[in-house]
Amino acid sequence: MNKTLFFEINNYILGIKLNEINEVLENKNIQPIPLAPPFVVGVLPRRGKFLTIINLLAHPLKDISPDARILVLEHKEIDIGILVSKIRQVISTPITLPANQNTGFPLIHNDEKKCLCHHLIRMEEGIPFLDLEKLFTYLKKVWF
Amino acid sequence: MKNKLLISFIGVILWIIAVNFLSSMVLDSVWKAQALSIAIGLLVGMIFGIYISDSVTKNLFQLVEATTIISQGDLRQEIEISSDDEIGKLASSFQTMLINLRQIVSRVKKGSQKVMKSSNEVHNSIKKLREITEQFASEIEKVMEAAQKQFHLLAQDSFTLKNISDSVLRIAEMANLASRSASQAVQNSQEGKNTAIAAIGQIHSFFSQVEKSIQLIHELGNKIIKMGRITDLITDIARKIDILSLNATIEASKAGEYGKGFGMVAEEIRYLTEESKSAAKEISSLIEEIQTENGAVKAAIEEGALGINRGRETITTLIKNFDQLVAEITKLGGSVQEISSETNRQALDTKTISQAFEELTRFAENNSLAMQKSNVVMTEQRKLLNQTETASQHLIATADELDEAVAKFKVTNE
Repeated sequence: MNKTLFFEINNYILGIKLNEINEVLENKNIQPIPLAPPFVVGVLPRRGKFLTIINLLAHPLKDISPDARILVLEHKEIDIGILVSKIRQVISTPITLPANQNTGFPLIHNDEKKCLCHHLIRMEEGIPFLDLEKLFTYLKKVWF
Repeated sequence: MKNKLLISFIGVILWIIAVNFLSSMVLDSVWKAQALSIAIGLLVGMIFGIYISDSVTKNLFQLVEATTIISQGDLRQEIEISSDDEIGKLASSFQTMLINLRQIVSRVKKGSQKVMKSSNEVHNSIKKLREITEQFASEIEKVMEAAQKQFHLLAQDSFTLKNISDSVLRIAEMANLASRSASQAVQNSQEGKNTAIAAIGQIHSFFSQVEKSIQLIHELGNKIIKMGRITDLITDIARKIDILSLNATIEASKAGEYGKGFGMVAEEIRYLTEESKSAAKEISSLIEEIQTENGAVKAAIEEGALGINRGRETITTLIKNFDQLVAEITKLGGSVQEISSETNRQALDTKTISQAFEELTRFAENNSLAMQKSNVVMTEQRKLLNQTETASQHLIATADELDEAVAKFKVTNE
């Protein structure tokens, strides 16, 4: 049984498989990178290396609260951190929900076009998941 | 006269007897003797008669002449008949009468002249009196008008003075009331001062309590700040535990079936941290509210303390003012008492004056009525004066007539 972690980026809610997360960090000590693309928040010193922190939104996160976290993801020996507004919960999947809760459970926000994640998700049983393959492919294309 | 005739008759008879005796002795004839004696007797009688009548008629003529002249008014005549007979007595009586008449006429003349003079004087006096009376009547009319005006004015003044007297009485009553109020005000201000002193004592006590409360609130604020820091620390710890529990869950997930139990514990820990975070957040929110309200309370109390401090200064000033007020009100009370006494005296004086004025008004009214009566009397007096003037004119005319009548009598040789 896989577990899925749901998180928020502003008002967007996405899921990610728990085994795709390497680590969860606090949102602090992020150093901004001059002339970096808008989605790159900065770098964070971690165990002698710099971890690149990206923002999946096309625009800066608003009202960054103490609940903001950095999810450290690893794909093919490349680590990146994504800045999320809040971690909602960890749920065992597949989800079996009562019929009356099907429509209300975490769905992507209507304003999908403004979210970078719009191009980086995959739908599984009606639930938007962050697709790491697409993410890293995209990052390699525009950043790495 | 009678005696003369009797003596003459007796003398004749005696002469006749003597002649008859002598002739009888001479003549031998009685008849002859008687005839002779009769003839001689008649002769002698005639001579006596002539003598006697002459003496009588002479005096009578003299008397008639004198009386004729006297009847023409000439009283200067003197009747000098020195006979002892009736004619002489008559002449003497005439002389006496003439003397008396001259005296009377002289007196009447003098009297008539005096009457004339007096009548003229009376007439002139009446004229003057008439002029004076006219002037007096005119003056009386003026005085009467003035008296009426005076009466009306006095009546008005009396009414006004009575109102003033009533007003002064009311003022006196009000002054008495003010005097009592001033005494009450002195007492009240003294009580107010005592109350203010008691109030400032209570305010001092209250201010000390407020200062203690401010100190306590300040300490409470500091403790709340410490609580906030502790809550922040708890929140931070909870956050870290949350992250740790997430990472533990991730690691447990990576461990597969072996990490299942650990993962469950990690999830439970995460739930607890969520609850802790929620409670800490709630506490933090409460602390913020308490801090806000505490700040507001502190500010309010400090403001209140400032207000109380100002109030204390105000009450201190108030006590000083009360002292001055008591002194001033005491002075004022004395002044009001004096005013009250003076006003009472004034009220009595005004009442007396008002009564005197009423009496004066009555006098003026009586005076006016008397002047009206005087005017009527003056009219009557003018009528009487007219009558008197007419009478004096008649008197002058009568005196003229009398003088004219008396002037016919001449009593002196002037």
